[in-house]
Amino acid sequence: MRPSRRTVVLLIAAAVSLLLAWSLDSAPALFLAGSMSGFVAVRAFLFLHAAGTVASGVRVERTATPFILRQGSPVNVTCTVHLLLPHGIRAEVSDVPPPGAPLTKGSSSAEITLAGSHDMKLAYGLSCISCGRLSFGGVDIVLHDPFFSLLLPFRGGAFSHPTLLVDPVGRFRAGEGSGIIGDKDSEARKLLRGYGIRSFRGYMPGDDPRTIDWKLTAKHGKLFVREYAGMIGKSPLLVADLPDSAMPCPASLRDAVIGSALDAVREMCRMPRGCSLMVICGPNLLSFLPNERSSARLERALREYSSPQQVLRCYRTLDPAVAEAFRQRLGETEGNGDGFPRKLREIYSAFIPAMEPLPFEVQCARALARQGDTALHVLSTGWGDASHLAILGLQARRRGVDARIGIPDSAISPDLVRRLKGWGYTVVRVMA
Amino acid sequence: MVMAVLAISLVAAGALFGTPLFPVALVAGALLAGSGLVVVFFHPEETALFLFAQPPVFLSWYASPLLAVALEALITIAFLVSAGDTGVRRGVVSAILLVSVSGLFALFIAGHRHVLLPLVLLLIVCVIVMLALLGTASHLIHRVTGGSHEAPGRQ
Repeated sequence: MRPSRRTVVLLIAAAVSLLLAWSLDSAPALFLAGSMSGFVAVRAFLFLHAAGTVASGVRVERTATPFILRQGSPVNVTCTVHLLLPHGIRAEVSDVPPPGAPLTKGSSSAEITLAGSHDMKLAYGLSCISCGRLSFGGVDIVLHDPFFSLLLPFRGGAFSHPTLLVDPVGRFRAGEGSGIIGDKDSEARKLLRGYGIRSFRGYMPGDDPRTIDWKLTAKHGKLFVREYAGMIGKSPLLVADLPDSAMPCPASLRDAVIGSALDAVREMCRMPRGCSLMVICGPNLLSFLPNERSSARLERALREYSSPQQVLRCYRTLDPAVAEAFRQRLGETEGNGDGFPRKLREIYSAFIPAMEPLPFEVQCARALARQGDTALHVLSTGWGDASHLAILGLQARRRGVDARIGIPDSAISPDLVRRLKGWGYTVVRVMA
Repeated sequence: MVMAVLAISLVAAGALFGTPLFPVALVAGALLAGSGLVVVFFHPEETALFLFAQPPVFLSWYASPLLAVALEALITIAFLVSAGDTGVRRGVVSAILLVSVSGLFALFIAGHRHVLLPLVLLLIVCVIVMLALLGTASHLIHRVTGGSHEAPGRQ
């Protein structure tokens, strides 16, 4: 509660009178001090009573269109505030937009000076710069009377609805050629037959007679067959690797991954075989949607786990095959007389038979083994431990799956690229 | 408001007629009424006029404490009306409360030879009232925030 200028003057006058009364032993000065203080106190109690009456009658109805949007998109907000204003009180009503969503048009505040019941309508536009689930701050009502003013911050519950779902902006081109899934010209002869002719060649026993080009055959007096070129589309598995919310990963990296993943699934779900999405947080599988065509389900899976917590960790996980390679390499160098390689080889020999694959390895293997013609696209922040990326890359390489990875621009480094290439990722892309 | 200041000055001077304070009340009343006119003419401010009326009230105490109470109530009601707080219910409640509080306080002071005890009691009452006001305001704000003060935003 803030006193107005005239209240401050009255309080100063009361204090001066009190000092005079004390120093001069003056009864009328004390009376004046008491009167002025009492006046201010009575006004304060009356003002608070009026403020309580206003607070108990406030209702807010707010609509935001659209409430699911991309980062930077405009939102039209209409907020209706119902309040009952007593006589002698003036109110300033402000709708508090979500943080990171500046006002682009209209005004989010207004003033009421007349007593009575009011339905105040505030219409304004926002531009959502932040992303995620953005809730409105509530409604601020500042009440004024001639002696005091009070800010009533209505927060939470119905005052913060609706929540805006703002998807981050991200772009990820998963493959070469046209299309998000990396369609490209293929030389596969028996898999498909497109409309374009790639080349001609001489007839070989076993070729389909329908492929014989009779014009060329007649011209050269020798059987020629047509070789068709077509588009081959790999059925992709998109892996969104979300950062652990308990770790201080920059929000921009997380937004880049989620934005790129949302961008990718929206395009991929329109493909004939839909989109296979795997949402992970380190070596923790959060969600797996195989051949999903519903973009709503795919987007919900990404949004639901937008701030996951990493339960399992696999720092420096050693693959059994890699461990066996180490053991064999140590066997080759054992002859130099040093006892340490021999001891290390014994240790490897002892624990390699007991090594069991991690649950995440099994999950990756099953996801990649669904069909033979799968491409793996991983979107990761590249931040923190990357053992799970190594597991994914190695599993893909074992199954002959083309593995690609997208890393945000700010997180990429030559060392990381070198390591990712070593783990089997053929292409390392930069996410915008 | 300036008329109320003028009336209070006249009443206070009239009440002190025949006492040694009469010339003081007359001069003070004339000066304050003139100052009130100057204020109204150049920069109308109710608070200044309200404060201008306090010296005549102060002097009227020596004629009768009840007169001082009545004049203080009169200038306070004039202050409320001129400040724009003309609501019927709030105005009546304010006036009744103020007259009651100042009357009781005047009676209490008039019964004491020195002001020390009433002054200490006034200070204690002021502290209690201030705490009650803060508690009421805090309770009100806690009620409207729904008991949570965390910053809204990204969830």
